[in-house]
Amino acid sequence: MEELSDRELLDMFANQATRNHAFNLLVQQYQRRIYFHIRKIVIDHDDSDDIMQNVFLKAYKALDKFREDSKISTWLYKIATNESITFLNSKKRRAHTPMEGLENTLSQNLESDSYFTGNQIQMKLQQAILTLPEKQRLVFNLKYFEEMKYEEMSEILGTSVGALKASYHHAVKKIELFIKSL
Amino acid sequence: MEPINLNEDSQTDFPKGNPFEVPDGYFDRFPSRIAEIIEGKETTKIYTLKTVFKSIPFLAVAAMLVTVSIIGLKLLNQKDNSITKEEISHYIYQHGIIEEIEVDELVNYSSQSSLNEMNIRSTASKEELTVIEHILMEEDFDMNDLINEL
Repeated sequence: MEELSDRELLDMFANQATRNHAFNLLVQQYQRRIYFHIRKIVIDHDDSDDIMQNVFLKAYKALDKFREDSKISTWLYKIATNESITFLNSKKRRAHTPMEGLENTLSQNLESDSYFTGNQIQMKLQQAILTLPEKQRLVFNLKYFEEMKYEEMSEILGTSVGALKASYHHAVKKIELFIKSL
Repeated sequence: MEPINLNEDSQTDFPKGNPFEVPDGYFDRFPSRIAEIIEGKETTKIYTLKTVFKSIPFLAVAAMLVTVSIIGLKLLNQKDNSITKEEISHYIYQHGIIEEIEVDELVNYSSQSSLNEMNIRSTASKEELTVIEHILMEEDFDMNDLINEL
């Protein structure tokens, strides 16, 4: 499918006759990237699916007010990140579990996840990522797997480029240490 | 899947591919699912079986709270309607009805006895009932008056 530009999508969305079709195209265009971003944060497919639904419904309601001071993809990543963090925090509160406890649970879920098809090395890498603090985990996933530029990441996470570079560096060191300790 | 270094000075190689998968056809169905919700064909959220199972513990806790509340309310209402031994004793003493009978005996009797308003109404004659009602309506009602009339 040929990708439409942000301008084309927004123009179609502004027209009542093509509004829903435009949004359908937008979902098709970004769903994979947004899904796997969410999935790497919450691990479970059903949870990712619930969050995906919320993200795109929120985007539909707010797209009229989208000011174009960032790309649509950056804006969607921002919504998805916030929704995923909110989800994990509420899960933590419901289970009365500290964050470390939740990471252990996510790590165990990973081992029993039928939709995780990675090999042993990938499993170890994901488990190592789950031991990172929340911000470092986000930075590592966006940089390592999605090869996102620090400038775009800075818009999504509201953190300076310098701080993001430092976060990534710390994350890499911690992951290496974790792997060596196995 | 080509292994790469995490960064330039890293000694460890890791595959960079995506290890996560989705159910078959998930990305084919998702856009139409969102479209259906937006167009109002489906106003409620789609719950997967796993999501429903996850909420069972919370539903169980909620059901238990409701049950405990209902039982608690019933017990409270019962307590409001019941008369304590002290209240009975105080009433008897104030009105000088009975002096010799112990309160416990009275309570036991009242719980075992079939004497109630309906029994009185069925055993007393019409004239007797009129007299009883008349005495009860008087402000300075005295039990001795009632016993004498009967």
